[in-house]
Amino acid sequence: MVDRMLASAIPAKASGMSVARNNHAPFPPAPSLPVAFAQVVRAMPDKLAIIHGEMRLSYGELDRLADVTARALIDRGTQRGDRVGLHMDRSAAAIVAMLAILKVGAVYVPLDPAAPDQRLAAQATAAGIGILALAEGAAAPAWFTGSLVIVDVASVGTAPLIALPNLHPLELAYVIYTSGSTNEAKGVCIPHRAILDLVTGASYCGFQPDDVVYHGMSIAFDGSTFEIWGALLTGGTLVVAPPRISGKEIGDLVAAHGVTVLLLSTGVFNALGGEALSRLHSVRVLLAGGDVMSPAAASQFLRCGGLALVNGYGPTEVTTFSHCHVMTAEVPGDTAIPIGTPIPGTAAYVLDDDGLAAALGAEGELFIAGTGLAQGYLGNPALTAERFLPDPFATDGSRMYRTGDLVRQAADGRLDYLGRIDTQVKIRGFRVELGEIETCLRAVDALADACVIHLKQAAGTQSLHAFAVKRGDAGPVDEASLLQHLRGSLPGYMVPRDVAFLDALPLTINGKVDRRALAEHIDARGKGAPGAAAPSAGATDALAQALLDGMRRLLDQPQIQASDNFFDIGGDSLSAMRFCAAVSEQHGIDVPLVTVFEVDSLEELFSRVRALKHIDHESAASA
Amino acid sequence: MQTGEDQFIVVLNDELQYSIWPAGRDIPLGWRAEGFQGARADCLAHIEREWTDMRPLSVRRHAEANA
Repeated sequence: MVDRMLASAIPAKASGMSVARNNHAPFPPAPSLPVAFAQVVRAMPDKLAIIHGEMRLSYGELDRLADVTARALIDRGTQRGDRVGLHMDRSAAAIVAMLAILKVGAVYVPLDPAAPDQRLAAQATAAGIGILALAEGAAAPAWFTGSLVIVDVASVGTAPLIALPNLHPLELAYVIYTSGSTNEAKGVCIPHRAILDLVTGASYCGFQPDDVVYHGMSIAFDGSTFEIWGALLTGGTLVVAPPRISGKEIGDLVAAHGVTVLLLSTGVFNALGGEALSRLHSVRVLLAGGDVMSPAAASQFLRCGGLALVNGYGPTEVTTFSHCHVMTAEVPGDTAIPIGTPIPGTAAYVLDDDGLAAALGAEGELFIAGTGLAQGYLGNPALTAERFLPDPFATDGSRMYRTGDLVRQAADGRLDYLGRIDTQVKIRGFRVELGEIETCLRAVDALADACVIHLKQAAGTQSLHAFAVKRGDAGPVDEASLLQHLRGSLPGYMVPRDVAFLDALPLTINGKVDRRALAEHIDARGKGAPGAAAPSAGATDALAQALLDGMRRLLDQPQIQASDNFFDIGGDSLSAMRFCAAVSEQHGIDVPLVTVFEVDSLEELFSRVRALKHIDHESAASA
Repeated sequence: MQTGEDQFIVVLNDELQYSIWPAGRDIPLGWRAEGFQGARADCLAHIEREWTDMRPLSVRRHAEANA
């Protein structure tokens, strides 16, 4: 038998410094989100709950708006336990809809309007969604044939009386889809209790009513759980960020509203740059999660006067965070930052291949137990049973989640993240199963086989590359048509940069696809590319040349030309953000992130930057 | 890493949640053998057939009491 203490080995004192300012708990424990929210509404109805653009909603107003939408849901036949789709971007309206859905005992299912219709339609069907919530003025998606509920937040009238259902803490609050290895995203089912424990057990953050919490995560990503419910179940104020926001614009929003709790995806945090990091004066705790934190960025934030920085870790199946590492003093710039220790209510085991506790310092797979665990995968009992296993260190029949992450436990209990066991990768903080992309390619009739590999360049950029083997009797198929097929069924971050055709996939001695050989194939292609470090056609002046050189370094592609389209050459929202930060630091020009999305070519981007430079100079001259 | 040869059993807890466990190893406290034994994939296929209501038993009872 394995000693439970040895296996968990998480002494409380090693769980990092608590950044809670005091431990007073203004609100008693509640069995469900709507009950917890009602307590806050009763205690502070006039307190500011949401800031979204020019809109301000108090807790009382938010509650009344939610009741109006709840009535509309009931009128359309919504029953307790039903799953209701949210086809909305992050917004005050989306939060009104979430509250309304929970108030009638139903379950919200965020569906990112930016995702391909085919994917959303499949998710909505799998989740049995008969009612979809939409923002006022938004068009209903063509694939949806059920009832619609339009969420209007423009005027707060009198609200109907909504009787809250008597929910069990293990009833579901939301279903969030993540990438699965088959061509089917996995719907992770999260109960009320998991969210309540995430918020109230957040000793690494300690939400207080005077907190101003930034909401920059997509509602289809479970980081938004922490932001939204962290603020709204503790009496804080939630600041909803506009879409496509640059590092500078994040800094502006933080300064304008005095944001105190800021969660960023690790990619965004790493890309912010010193200028933006030094402007986050009001932030008392900055959390980053979703990928490997850069020690340089961490040091920079703390050196600039940042009070507390938290490296958060947690799969969607364990409700945003299972582990946190709190830093309050500068970290050595060259050592990996640990993912830390389990948050309250969570236990973690590092197990070897035989399911036995790995020795301290030895590599093992991370298993997580505790109240943050999902109920399972929607409509997928076999996958649920495979990933949620009996917890051999507990005595109450509870389960542990098999993360597929390799970690190492240090003597002080802290965990170091080492990588994945399977082919799951992180692109811009999103979980991507390479197998899901491969399944999607194999579904193409003309292809016999396919493999997708993930490359990380020295500059920190990431890219996906597909390899395809045509069938002997295949009809015409080319790279462009395959990429178009993938764009139609996968979100943008899952679409590979290119597709190369091979006669056969290279295999290792064990008969598995030799991914290393495929990666070398890409490397060789990059080095041999014509025009590498060639003079730049189209770069017309010193500024454009400097910007082009910067872009080549940023994307790690010396062959980029000014006529290229940023997204065709592998740019994404994260590299766009890094570009804006670099231009700000090196040239003193603030480029709104949205500019990068508006232009067709780098040439056009550079001339927009030049125009912004002139505006800056003119306004400086006139000042 | 489990090979296809390894035998598993299907187990259940008091919430009637299903899972799998290596055959021959002590079943964790709070779990009992459901009766099915076989290769990993066969156990999972059995669970796919049998586990038709994935709500924990306490939730099902609560719903009945509040119906």
